[in-house]
Amino acid sequence: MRLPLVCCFLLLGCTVKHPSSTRASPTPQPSPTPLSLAGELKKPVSVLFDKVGTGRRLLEVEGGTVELQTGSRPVGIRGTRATLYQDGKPALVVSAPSVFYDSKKKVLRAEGGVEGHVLSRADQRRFQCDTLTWQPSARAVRGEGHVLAQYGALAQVSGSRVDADLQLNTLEVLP
Amino acid sequence: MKRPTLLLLLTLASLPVVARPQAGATKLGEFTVSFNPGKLRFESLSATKLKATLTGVGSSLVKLISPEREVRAQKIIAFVEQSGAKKQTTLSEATATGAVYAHLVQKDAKGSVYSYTVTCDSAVFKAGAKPKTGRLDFSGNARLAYDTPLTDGETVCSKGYIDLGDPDDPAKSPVFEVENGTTTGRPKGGGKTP
Repeated sequence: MRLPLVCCFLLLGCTVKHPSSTRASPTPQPSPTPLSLAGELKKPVSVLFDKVGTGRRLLEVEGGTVELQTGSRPVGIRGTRATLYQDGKPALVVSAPSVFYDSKKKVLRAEGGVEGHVLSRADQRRFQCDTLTWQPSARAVRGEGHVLAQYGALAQVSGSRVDADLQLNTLEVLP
Repeated sequence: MKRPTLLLLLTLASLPVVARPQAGATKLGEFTVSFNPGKLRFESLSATKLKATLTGVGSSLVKLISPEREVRAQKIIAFVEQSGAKKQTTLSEATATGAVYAHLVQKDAKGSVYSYTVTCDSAVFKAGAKPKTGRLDFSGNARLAYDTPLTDGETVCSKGYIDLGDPDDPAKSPVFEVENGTTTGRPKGGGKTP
């Protein structure tokens, strides 16, 4: 995970802002804080590949910043839109004010009012919720808070929590 | 009122409001679904067909309600699909089990109203080929209360069915049939009890 992220980051030429780039104070700091970096993403960046399986793409995040820590260790990528892949193909697009992939916990979390829609489906499957989490290993998403899912004209579901696969082929809702 | 405050209020008033359905209430074709407490599982069978499994918690009931139909049970499995040139969404089949209550209202070609209320252990509704047609089969500790233009009454039986007929065909009025039952009924219009 770490290597592709850094590679993408470097290849795309992100603008890196070094917060501590100003001249360092000669007086020693009592407790050193971890160095952090942030870079603006110029275009969609693939951040996660299935290294265990086929090496296919799992996730793209766009419209945000890369966050790194000391030694260029990637903390994650923050954006406003993510594309989740299934079997190497884009399956679900998630948009929210905050979409963050935590590379340590290996989990994507979108919050602040999430909207999502399934790609490559004729029946217009889409959903809204307050927060959404996705773990690549689980191949499923969980939406919580004011969940509303729409299956075109077939059905409309509302509830407090939903678990679904990336195509919304199977969806389980709690009231 | 100061101008910035007025502008802020006008801006807030013009923001689009997204109407969300009430939590726990869901639309399944023409039916409103209630599963609180309980859970709902959707399985997509194709782009035009969906399987919905509603399960109550413990003895609580889940519900499917439309203006002319109502089903309550501990568990309901329903299939909805889009069909026809108008792509109308209909409930094609529903199976209800556990403390089933079903209420059906149907009009015949003359506009007369037929009303049926069933309580039983399990019931299966299958929609007919035409809209507003279909048949409900029920079984297990069944009790059917009926109110038709000619008679009303109640029957206790082991099983039976209600055929909703065809509201466009005068020859096909709603009918019901039961097995191993006892019936108490009275004809309307001052006739004798059958």
